[in-house]
Amino acid sequence: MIPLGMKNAHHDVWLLLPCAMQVVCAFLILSIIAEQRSAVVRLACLGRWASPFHRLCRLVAGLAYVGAIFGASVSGLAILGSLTGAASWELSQAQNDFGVMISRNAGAIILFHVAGLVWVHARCVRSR
Amino acid sequence: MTASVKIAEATLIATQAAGAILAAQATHLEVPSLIGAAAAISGSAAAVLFRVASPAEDRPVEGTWRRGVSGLCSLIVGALFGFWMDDTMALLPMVSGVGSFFVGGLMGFGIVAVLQSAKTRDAIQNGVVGLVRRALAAFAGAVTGGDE
Repeated sequence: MIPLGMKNAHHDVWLLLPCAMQVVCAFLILSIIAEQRSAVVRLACLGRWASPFHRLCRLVAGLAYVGAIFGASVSGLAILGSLTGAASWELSQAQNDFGVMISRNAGAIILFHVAGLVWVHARCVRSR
Repeated sequence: MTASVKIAEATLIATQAAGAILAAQATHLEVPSLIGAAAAISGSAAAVLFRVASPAEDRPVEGTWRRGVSGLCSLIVGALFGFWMDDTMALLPMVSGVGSFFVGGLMGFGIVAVLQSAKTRDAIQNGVVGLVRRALAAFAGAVTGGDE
């Protein structure tokens, strides 16, 4: 039980740095996914490159990174609200947790995307 | 209790908490809307996804990072535009207060992308220069026309 009047656990300006980094990195990967079709693994049994299914996969992967951006922004802005006093510490902490939850949900899809890329990379290295 | 039931319950509780936070934010729009600003940022980022639907070939790999960093500037400008638009877009059907920030960010990124296109920039520049020239000519005609 947190005593009333206690400061927000995330009341630290340095925590804004990882939030900003998550937004920047997720956006850079998102722009690569949007530009290069090979940034998302193609399943041979489910169509060729740029098939509707592969585009759908790219869209879902891109939306996952948008989710990561949204989650990091929500968390970062909650910290900012706590630091500036724009939001109460209860609301700020709840919003921070909300942002973390969104990031984790997005991470469930990002995990598959990264696993696919690692798999393709490993196959490329072995074929050399 | 099985793990799936626990996950379902946790998801339900988290969704309810998220709904409560969104409602609390929506009813306190006089406070700077923090979730709205996050929606503007993600809306601006989501605009990149329109490229997925483009039938054009892949861009060259060489300039990918440069274009990505350039896109970051568009992201920031688009997010600021979305935050500036506030809940104006909520006048549209099925767009809520937070969704308005998202649509604003989407539009902001789109406007920056259009302005970055050399052809569009030239067209706008030509239009503005043409308008100024016509206005100047009309002004000069009005000034000298009375004397002659």
